[in-house]
Amino acid sequence: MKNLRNLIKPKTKNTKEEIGKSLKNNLNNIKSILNNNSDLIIREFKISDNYSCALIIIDGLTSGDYIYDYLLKTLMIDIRTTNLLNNISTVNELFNNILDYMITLIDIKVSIYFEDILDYLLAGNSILIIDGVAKCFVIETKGFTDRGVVEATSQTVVRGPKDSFNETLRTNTMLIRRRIKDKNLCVTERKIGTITKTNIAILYIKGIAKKTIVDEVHKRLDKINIDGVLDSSYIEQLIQDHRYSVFPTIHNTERPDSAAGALLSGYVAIIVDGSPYVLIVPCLFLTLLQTSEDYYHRFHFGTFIRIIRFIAMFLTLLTPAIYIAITTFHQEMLPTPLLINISSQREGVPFPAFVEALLMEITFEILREAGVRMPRAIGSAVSIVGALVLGESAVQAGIVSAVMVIVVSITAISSLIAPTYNLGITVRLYRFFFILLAASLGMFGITIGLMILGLKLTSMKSFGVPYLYPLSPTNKEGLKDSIVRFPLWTIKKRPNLISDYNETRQEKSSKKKKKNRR
Amino acid sequence: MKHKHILLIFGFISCLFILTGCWGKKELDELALVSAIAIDESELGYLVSVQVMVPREIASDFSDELTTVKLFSDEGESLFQTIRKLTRDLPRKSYFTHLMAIIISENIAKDNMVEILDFFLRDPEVRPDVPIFIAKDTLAQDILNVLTHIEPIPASKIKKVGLNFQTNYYGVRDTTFLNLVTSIASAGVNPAIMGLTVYGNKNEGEKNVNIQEIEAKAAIKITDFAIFKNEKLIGWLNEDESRGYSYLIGEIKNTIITIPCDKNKTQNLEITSFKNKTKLKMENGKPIINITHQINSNIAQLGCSIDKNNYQKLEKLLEKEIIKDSQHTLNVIQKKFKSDVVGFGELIHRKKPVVWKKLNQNWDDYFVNLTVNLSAEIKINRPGVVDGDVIKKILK
Repeated sequence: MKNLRNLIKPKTKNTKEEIGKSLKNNLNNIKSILNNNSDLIIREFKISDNYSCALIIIDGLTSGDYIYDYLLKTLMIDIRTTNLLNNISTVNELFNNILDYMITLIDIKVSIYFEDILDYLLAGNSILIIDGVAKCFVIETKGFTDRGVVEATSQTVVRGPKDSFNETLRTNTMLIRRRIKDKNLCVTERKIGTITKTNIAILYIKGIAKKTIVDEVHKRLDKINIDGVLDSSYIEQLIQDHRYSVFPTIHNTERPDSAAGALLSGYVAIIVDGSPYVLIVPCLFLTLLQTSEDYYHRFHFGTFIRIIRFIAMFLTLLTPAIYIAITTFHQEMLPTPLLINISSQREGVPFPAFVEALLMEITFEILREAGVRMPRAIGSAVSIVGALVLGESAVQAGIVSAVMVIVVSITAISSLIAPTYNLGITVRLYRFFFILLAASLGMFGITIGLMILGLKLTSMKSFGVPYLYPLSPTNKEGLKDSIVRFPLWTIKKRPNLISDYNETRQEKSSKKKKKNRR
Repeated sequence: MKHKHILLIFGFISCLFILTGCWGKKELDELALVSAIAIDESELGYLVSVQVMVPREIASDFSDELTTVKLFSDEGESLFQTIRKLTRDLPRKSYFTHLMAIIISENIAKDNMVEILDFFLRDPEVRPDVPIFIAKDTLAQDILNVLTHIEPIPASKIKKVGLNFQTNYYGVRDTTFLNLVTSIASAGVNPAIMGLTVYGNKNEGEKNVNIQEIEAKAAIKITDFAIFKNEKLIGWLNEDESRGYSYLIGEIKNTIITIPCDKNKTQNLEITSFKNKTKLKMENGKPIINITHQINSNIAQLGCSIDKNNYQKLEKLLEKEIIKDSQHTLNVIQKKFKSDVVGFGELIHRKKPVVWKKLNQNWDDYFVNLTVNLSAEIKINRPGVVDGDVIKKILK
């Protein structure tokens, strides 16, 4: 339990088995390793009469067009119309000629190890083996279906690009490349997962991203030794800083524009094949409350909406707690008319405020979970039960007070405003902690809770960057783009703890332009 | 091992929450929210009445046409003891943080209020800004026995009537019990606070009938100002004197001044700003105080015609009227009550501490013969929304 990353000890690799010269043996070997799988297709054919070959693919992972047009057709038919076959004497020469002249596909490798061949085969490549050569071609013919680039579903915007990442790594890197056409955008790939062999790409802009952070990412990824990676959250959980903290220390986005924006600021993006959520490190607390849309609207609204989000976060966190604290400990804090209103509603409610709050909050959490999990077809039934039975009828039956329903509603709506879902989750969990504190110690408890929270947040770090940066440690340039958003032309530098060199974002020219505009 | 420790610590911390027993916790439906308290004299010592709000009746949605408040009273030797004695009748703990009025009977005020004020000062539940009133010509309890309508909580009506009177008519300096205590405690000033009384049929006041008809059978009204000497009530200023007292202390925000001009006819001026410029001079080692009333006003209603472009005559009349009232009150408090309710002593204390050191000992005697000169600077700004002499035109 000490370290999840070391759960599976690194396997020392045996010396790799090389492929032999005999086609038959090789094919038998592959068949036996792959347990005669039904989606394994081996096409044996001949190039002229002397040379027998075999093309091996996994059905479904490859593009049929590629294989027909550029492999089988060229090798079986087109080759006869050339004079390539006439000049060769050995099979090795044929091998080289095919590589040099015949295969009109771009990504082609030569491999000699069984293990590599199988990895490539299972990733959607085609394997071409020629009898008598102890080498084989690994030809990139991937062609599986994916969802396509569709509109973002969980991080939506009103104004701004609508496309989102999908489950294919290559599409995702393409989406970012399309936005950042710079030679310094580095994409390094690796495989993680001893069984799933998931491709993982690390993206950063050389010269902007801090080298220590990039190295740290690589170092942490190196340590992972797990059998499977099914979503980027696996990687998130295995490389995050504070593993027991409720607060997320790795940001995620499904929007290529936010990812590109983060790269421009010096962040590092981690794309995991099979996950539409791209991880972004380091993660700062404030960035969890920001969306790319803040920059697409003009700065007044950008600032306004960020402040609203901040308020909403505190509402989610504290509304039920403050309600409990005030109604059970500090009745003097309420204005008399409000107190009378609440008091008249509380008359006849059989539970203390704490139980009442807990009851409603848990009910709402159940309702929300049901909303996510239920089949779409019964959605309306659930909303009727939720809205009418749990809201209105519960009040009329005198089980809960109307104020409590309002409190829960405010909490619920506020919690949905969090631009990243995982921050919403964090705040929802902490809310129960605060309810408990408020019920036992009142406002005093809430204050203690806030102090603990503040201390916790200030002590946290994400990939070496303080979690509350640029609030603490304070950075003047960083504050321009924090809870408020200054006009774009005033944000001239990148936050210096994230990218320590190449700080300048824009030269004076942008400002001059502005003057000219006047 | 490490996890065992964490679990243990977590266990201990969660015990802390449970074992406190939620100290200080009081659910809303276990409290009797006291809106007003009235204190009368009785054979035993005190007769204490608390007006408790009935939230269900006040919040209109739930109204069952029962009274919005309930009165609980009992007698006892001391104030606090009597409040606790109320538990014989009250099913919930009385809770004083939302207290809106303290009403003290004339007899108690005449006798000794210090004990009562001490309780209110010490009690953490009572806010220092609770308005305090003296019941005139009636039991304090009777005042809490009147139902009111526009403000469904009678105590709230009392509080707001006090405020409204203060801002739109004339007022006193000592409105809250903390003011009262401060005035009692300081040497150079004596308190004066508003009086309350019940007009109409006292017996009908407590019934719902009182608020079901347009005209109330009984109503709580602000009446004369009570004058104190130190902590003891010594008398009342009548309506004109009360008004004069407000001029002297400059406690006027907006008011109306009526000047008789002809037979049964009056000129009315609305005062929009009223400030006192007070100066202290020493003549032959004796302090002389000059008060200048600086007044801005508009014409509100004319009974007699005036010169259209010349308000000087009217200004003169107003000046005379105001000085007349102030002077009269000054005479009353100097000669009749011999109590420095205006706070001239405090003024001397602040401006000439050396002189005050000498006068401090027998200030009450000295005050009687203190020279106070009154003057007024009047400005009439606007004739209202009509220009010229409307009456003259109508009469033509």
